[in-house]
Parts: sequence; structure tokens; C-alpha cells
Amino acid sequence: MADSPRSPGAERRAVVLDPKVAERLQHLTLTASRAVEGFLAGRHKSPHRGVSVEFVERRGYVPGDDLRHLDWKAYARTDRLAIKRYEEETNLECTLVVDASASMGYPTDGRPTKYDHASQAAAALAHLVLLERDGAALALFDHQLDRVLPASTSPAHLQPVLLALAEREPAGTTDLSAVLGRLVERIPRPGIVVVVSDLLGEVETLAAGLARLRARNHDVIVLHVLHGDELRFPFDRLTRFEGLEEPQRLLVDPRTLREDYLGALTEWRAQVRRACTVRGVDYHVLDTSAPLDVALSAWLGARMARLSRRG
Amino acid sequence: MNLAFGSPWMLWGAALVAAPILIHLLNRRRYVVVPFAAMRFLLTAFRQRRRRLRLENLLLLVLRCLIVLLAALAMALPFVPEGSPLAALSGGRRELVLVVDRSGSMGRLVAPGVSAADRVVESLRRRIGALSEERGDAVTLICMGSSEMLPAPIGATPSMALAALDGLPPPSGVADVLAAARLVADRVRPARPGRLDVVILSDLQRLSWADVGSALGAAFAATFAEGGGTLRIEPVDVDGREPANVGVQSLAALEPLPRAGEPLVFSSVIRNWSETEPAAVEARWLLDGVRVDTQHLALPPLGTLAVESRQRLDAPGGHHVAFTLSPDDLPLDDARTLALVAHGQPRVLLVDGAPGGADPLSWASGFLSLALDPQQPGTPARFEPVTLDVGRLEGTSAQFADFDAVVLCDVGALTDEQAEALARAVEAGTPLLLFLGPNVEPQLWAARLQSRGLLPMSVGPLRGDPSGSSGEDYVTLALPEPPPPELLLFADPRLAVLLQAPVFAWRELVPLPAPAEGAAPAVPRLLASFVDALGHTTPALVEGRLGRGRVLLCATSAGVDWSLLPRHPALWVPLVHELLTTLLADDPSEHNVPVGQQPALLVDGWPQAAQLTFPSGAVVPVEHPEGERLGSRTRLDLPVPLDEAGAYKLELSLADGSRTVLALAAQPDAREGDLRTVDDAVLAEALAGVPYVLGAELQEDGPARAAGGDGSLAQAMLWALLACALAESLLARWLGAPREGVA
Repeated sequence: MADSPRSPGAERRAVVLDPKVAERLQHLTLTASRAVEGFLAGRHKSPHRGVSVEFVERRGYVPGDDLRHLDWKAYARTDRLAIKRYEEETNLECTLVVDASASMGYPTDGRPTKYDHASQAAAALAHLVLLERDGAALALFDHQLDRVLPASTSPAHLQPVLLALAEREPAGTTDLSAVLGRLVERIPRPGIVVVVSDLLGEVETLAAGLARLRARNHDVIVLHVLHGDELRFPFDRLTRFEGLEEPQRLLVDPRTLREDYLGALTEWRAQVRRACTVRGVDYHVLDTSAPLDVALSAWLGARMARLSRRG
Repeated sequence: MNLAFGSPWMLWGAALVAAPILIHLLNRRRYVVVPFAAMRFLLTAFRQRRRRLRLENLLLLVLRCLIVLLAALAMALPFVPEGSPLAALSGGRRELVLVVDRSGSMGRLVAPGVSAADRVVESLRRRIGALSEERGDAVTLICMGSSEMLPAPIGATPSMALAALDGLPPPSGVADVLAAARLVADRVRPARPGRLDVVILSDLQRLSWADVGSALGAAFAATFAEGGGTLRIEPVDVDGREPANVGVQSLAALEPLPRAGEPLVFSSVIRNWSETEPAAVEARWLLDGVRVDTQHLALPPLGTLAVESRQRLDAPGGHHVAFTLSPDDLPLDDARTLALVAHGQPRVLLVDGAPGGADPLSWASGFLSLALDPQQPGTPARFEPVTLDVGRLEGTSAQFADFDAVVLCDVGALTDEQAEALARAVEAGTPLLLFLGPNVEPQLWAARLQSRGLLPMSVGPLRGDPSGSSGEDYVTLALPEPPPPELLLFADPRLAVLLQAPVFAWRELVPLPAPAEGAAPAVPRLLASFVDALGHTTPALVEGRLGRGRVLLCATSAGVDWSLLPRHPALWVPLVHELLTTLLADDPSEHNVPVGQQPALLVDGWPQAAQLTFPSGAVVPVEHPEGERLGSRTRLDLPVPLDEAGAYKLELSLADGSRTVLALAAQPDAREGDLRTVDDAVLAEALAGVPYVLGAELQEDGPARAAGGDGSLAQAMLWALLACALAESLLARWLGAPREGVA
């Protein structure tokens, strides 16, 4: 997916899945870490056991698949590993919840924004999910759910996802608690919920939202998108900082506040991480300055390895 | 605390303290705007740091303002008086003011071959040598009694002061202590605002110290009021010797117009300043360096003696006559030199306004010419009169320049050109004698002579009876009381009868009108009056001046038209001789100046170069000597002071290629022979209210240093500035400069 500089206020160009990202992720899957329900047969664990199923088809083996469903005959024949798919095999429904509030519009000087990065990540994950013939849904939010695309397993569903991401300009304030709470009501069955946001709000509201999702047995992933400027605070000239969501201003020599700012940021990130991990939420930071393909593949690989260890 | 400044105008630089504030304010307007998402963390950090930021910024601003302020204060040269609490912060450099007595009395011997001046110079070398140029020590040398009181710049380095010591002229003048104190107060103090250590090295001669009054103390009090300082008076160590001095007080020629070839009487007065009778005093007379007479004298204690010697100056021109005594404790006044000009036969131009026939006595100037040159074989004339009909007078300065004096006899009037040329000649120094007569036109005299300043009085109406037929109606000459030196001869009662020659007619001499509104008219000098039988007097002979020339105006005629004066040779001849001798006499002060002064001379011609030979033999060339041209003469201002007592020779190269040699002499102040000194009580009275130390400074390895420095805080302020600059730099670096105030 190519990043194209965009001037503030200008019409957003189409979000295109970065081939590099796609290539990197092609051997990875977004595996649910716990039992989920899906309306299509898939490789995910079904909460329903002992149900009679019919063989439907084979598909290529990917690491993490249940070896009980390995088609040994096909392997003997073709010397290729394959998994039998049964009728009752459950399909994953992955809801990509992308933050489109004003804070995601940083920076405003034409460089790729956090929203761009989040869009890229969401598109990549959507592509990955659809590749596995799992369902991908999209929800854009600010202080409320703004745009929702219901889940679809059709590969063609990627385009609407990309279009929805492209059409949205980051704006508005953030209310994670309200959004996640609303989301809980809209997702009927447990699935994967990937929250792609900068999470610039109160940790307590985030924790509450996550808790509600987890209460519904959703596999929640939080991709914490932060810009390199926010992480390292490289400013060295006299600067008037203006809030993107709140009407705040501060004229200051950034060097005088760098240390304290980073300290506050670090502490907040620790709180966010803690809020996620204690609720069993998979938390990962996406630094916009790092290549997305590397970041996502590393994260997904680690996730898959972690899940496979758990069995 | 009295904080004063040596350069107070530099305090305007303190206004630059606004610069850091302005920069601070201007910088706040230059910033970038960044829309930022994570404002909450920024605001959290700001709230945590706000107070500290403000303090840090304020501290930096204060340091920067302090740097500017300290720089301005340091450049304004602040200083505090000695008693100030801040005196301990002042620099350690030393500021010496050495007031050195270089008067004639300092030439007294304090040890065999060692004069008081030598001892003082030795002390000065030691004292200045102990100073440190690296530390910034400074010396101001003030020489009392020298023509140049400041031989080195004020606040000179020690090496400059030592070099100046080498060039000091011998002690010769009179020490003006008060002038030295005022020099310190008026010139040294403004230039050197810090603490001044003033040391006066003197023999404390009564002549210099006895009559200074309270002004001396006031001058030093004013000096020390700002910046502080100390005063030390160091009397010269005389090793207990009581002075024994016999000095020459004066030397003069009794003849006002010395003539070559004629005997001259020279007179000298010597004085014994001691309370003891000296051993036999041998006095020697020298003529142009050759001893011509020796006398052995005896003087009583504190007594004077007049001595004469008769000599002859064979050649006309400049000569030196010296009178010397046996050496004693003060060599300065053991000799005195007189420079004089021996004249040949003065040429006198007689301008005749009533020329007669072949008989010279028929001319208005006839009797005058006869009196000046009797034409007697075997008897050389003392004057060379040249008679000229007024109608043949050219009216040029060159014509008058050929004569030593000009006499107008019964001249009706001169043309404007003639009058102008005559006035220029008189201004340049040619004396003028005016005799009236029947042809004189008062109106024309007023218009052409009086208007040019040639007349000491206006020529008024005719008085008396020119025909003399009235018989008893005449006047005679009478001398005023006291009689003028020119006519002292006639004051002798035995010669008073000579003045009884009758004068039948004369012109009334009227005082000149005042030259300008409110200005006082010039008062002529009355040499003689006419007195009638009733005792009424009227001016007969008056003197005036025009420039360097003297003018004598006689109210009657030089001929027998109006008086019988010329027919009384016993009166007439000495009268005209005395008048002309007086007119032609040299001013001894022109060629004989006090030691240390520069002579102003009237020389014939236009000098192009000069060479001055000192008594010691040193020769000083004077290129392009400065002078004012006065007709055919030049008023020459010699730029070289005559610092040594004795005989000088001035050789002049004139514009026409000729050379002339003038004799000059520098004479010490005779009062310097009095070596008596003042006592402590006189000093205390003169310096009332001013703390001082009397006595020599103890010898030390280094210069004595009182508590505190020289009062200057500049160094301390510069150190403080450096500390502030260092602190600002370190603080800014630590905090991440440049700092900025927070909105």
C-alpha cells in the first residue's frame, strides 16, 4: 500500500493495500487465540464439540492448524500437507475497529498520518482475514461509531473496506468507552476485534471498553498506533503546540519539557499495556516510523508462535 | 558608600541592559506552530515544570542583564574612597604622584659632590623602580620650579617616569607649591580617579612654603575628597649640614646705553645668607669668559655688599659679563651673567620741517644736530645725526630702518605714507622724539600722527608769545617729583639752574580722547613740565608708547623760534643726549631672562634658522623660528626655554643670507639663595584639615600598600562579569539554551 503525502483538507486518495505488506503477510494468519464462533467453516476452534461434520474440502496446511485434521492420505499422495475442512468447522469473524478521530490526523504537515498507518494496518489485516475466507468487518469511529461495514468472507469485500478507509478524514474527538460499548452490542458472536487507535484518552475508559468486549468472549487485539514524534518528541525550536481534538495551546521551548513529557507518555503507555494485558488483550505498539510490513509480520508471527505454544 | 566614576558617560551603556529583555521579548514572537495530538502529556509536563521554568528563565535573564550592567559599570571606572566597605574589592595597583622640588635651592650640596636634587632623584629612582608595570602601577611626576611641570604624561608607566628623570633640567626656578597642589587637584585627579598616593620631596624652603596659606590644604583636601589617597612630605636629608651661602643678588650695567670703546661700570650686589661670617670671598669679573677683575670681599652675617667694576667693551655687539664668587653650598647663586649689547655710534634721523639756508643753525634741527655731533676734532661724536628735509622723506620703512632713532623738528605734517611708515618703524622699536614749532599743523598732526597712535598727547593751541617780545612772559622747565630717571641729572640742585632757560612759546598738550566708549584713555608719562612765574604748570615733555617703540613729545621747538633752550648748551646738550640715550637704551630684560623662560627678542631681519648654545656647551638647533615681522625687524619667540643659568649664544641665519649672533643670559632667582626652611608648625598650618605624614618612607622590598586597593572597582566588576558569564553559559547549557518564557 503506497503512502501518498496528503495536504490537510485535500481529498484523500484511495487506500491501496501495500503489496509489500501483503507479500509479507501472505504466510501468516490472524489466528484467534481462543474459541470463537464463525458462520463459515474454518480452521478456528469451534466451541461446539462432538458435532457430526462432513468433509467439505482440503486446504493447504499452515502452521498452527490442528494436526488432527491433517489429511495424511493427501500427504502420502502428493507429499503436501493439507487440512480437511469439515462442515462444522467454524469461520473467524474479525472486526477491524479503526480510530478516525482528529488525533489520528497527526501530523498535519503532509507526512503520512497515524490514520494512514492505521488504515494500512487495517487493510492488511482485512486482506489477511479474507484470504483465509474468514469474515472481515470494519468500523470507523471517533466519539461514536461512524462507519460500519458488516463482515463478509468474499474476497471482493476488501475493496469496500479500502474505500471506507479512504473516504474517511480524521476528525472529531475520541470516546473509546462509548464506541467499544456500542460495538459489543453490534457483534453477535465472539470473534476477533482489532482496535487500531492511538488510544489518546483516559485509560479507565479504554479498560472499561475492553472489559466489556472480553466479557463477550471476544479475542481483542489492540494495535496502539503512535507517531514517532509522539514517541520521541524531537522538537527543539520554540513551538506553539495546538491540540488536535481539544482547544489547547502551549507556547514552550520543547527541550525544557521533553524529559517530563516522555516520562508521562511512558507511564501512560505502561498503564495502557497493563490495562490490556490484565484483560487478556493482545497489545502491540505500531510506531509509524517503523515499516508496517515488518511490524505486522513480526507481531503476527509472534502471536502465532505464542498461540501454538498454548496449543 | 561613595561610589564615583572616572568615566561617568560610559554609564549610558547600562541602558543596554534592556537588550536581553528585548531579545527575550522578540524571541517570543518567533516560533513554529505544531498541531499535536498528545497534548495531555505536554500539558502534564508543563504543569510539573512551570514554576521551575519560570525561575530558570528569570535567573538566566537576570544573569544576562547583570553581564551588561557590570560591563557598563566597569567601563565607567568606578571607584570608592579608602574608607568604603567596598575598598577591599578594589585593585591592587598603585597610583603615585611625585611632586619634586626642582627649585634653585635644591642645588645645595648635602654631601661632597652631592646636591639635594641628586639625592631626591636617587630616591625617585628607587621608589619608581619598586613599582610594577604589569600590575598597572602609574606615576605622575610634577616638577616644581621647572619650566615644564609635567615632564611625563599624567599616569605614566614606571619606565616612562624613569626616562623622564633622565631628562630633568638642573634645579633653578622657584618652587610654586600651591601651583603644584592645584595641578594635582585640577588635572591629575580628573584623569586618575582612584586612590592617589602623593609624595612631596622638597627642601621645605621658606621662600616656597611660608606664604601658601590655607589654599594648599584646600587643594589637597579637594584632591582626596574623591577617590581618597595619602599625602607624605619628605624633606631632603641634608646630613645635618647647616647651609653656608653667599649669593649674587644682582648684576647690572650702570650705563643705560653701553657704547663700544667707552668705559662701563658694572655693579653687583652680593648677600650673605648665613648667620656666620664666611671665609674670604673671592669675586671675579669675567668679560666674555675672560677674567678681567678679581676682588676679595668680606661680608657680615646676613649682610649685603655692593661691588663695582669698570670695564670696557671694545667691539660693538653682544657681550657677556659675569660675576662669580667662591663656591659654597649653593652653586646656583655663586655666579650671575649679564648679556648686553655694546653700541657703536647710534644714527639719528633728524626730519626737519623748516629747512634753512646754508647755516645749519638756521634749520629747525640745527641746534639739535650740533648738540648730537659737535663736530669737534679729536672728540668723537656719541651720535651720528643725519638731517633730512621733510620734503625728501621717502616714507618707506626701509628708510627708517637705517636709523636707530627718528626726530621730527617743526614738521608741519607728514603725508599718509610717511606717517604710516613712521608708525610701523616705531611699532617695531625705533624710538621717536617730536619737537613742535611754528610749522606744526595740529589738525594734520591729529589726522596723520595722532590717529596712528604716534602722539602721547594731542597738540593743542599755541601758548605764550613766539616773538618773545613780552619779555618776562615765559616759562621754564621743571621736573616732576620724583624726577624721571632720564632727567635725573637735572635733579641735582647744583644743576637746577640749567632748567631756567626761558621758553616763550609752546603748544598746549591735551590728553587724548578715550579710544572707545567706557575705555580708559592711555595716560602719558610726564617727564617735565613748563612752569610760569605764578607756578602754573603745563606738560612740556611727555612719553608714550606705540608697540615696542617709545615716543617723546616736546611741547616747544628744537630751534630758537620758541625758546632759548638751544642757546643754553649746558642744558641743551645733556638734555638731548639724555633724552636720546634713554630712548635708545636697551631693555635688559629682553636679553636677560629668568631661568626657565623663553626669551622674546627683536632682531633685525628675518631669521630662517637659529642655533642656541647653552652654558653647558650643548647646542640646540631651532629650525624655522617663529616670529612676527615688524617692518624690517622680527619679533622672535624662541621656543626653547633657557633652563640653565649662565651665558647663551644665539646664532641667527637671516633671509638675506647674513648671520648675526646675539648674547643672552638666564639668571637664577636670587631669592633661592635663602636656604632657610619652614618648621613643622608652618606645615601643619598650611595643611590644616589634610592628614599627612612628614618624613621619609621606610625602605621596603616592595611598595607600601595600605589596606584596600587603589579604590578602583573596575577589576572586581570584570571578575564579577566573568563569573556571571560563566554561570549563564553553564546554566543555559544545562537547561538547554536558549531559554524561553512559557505561555
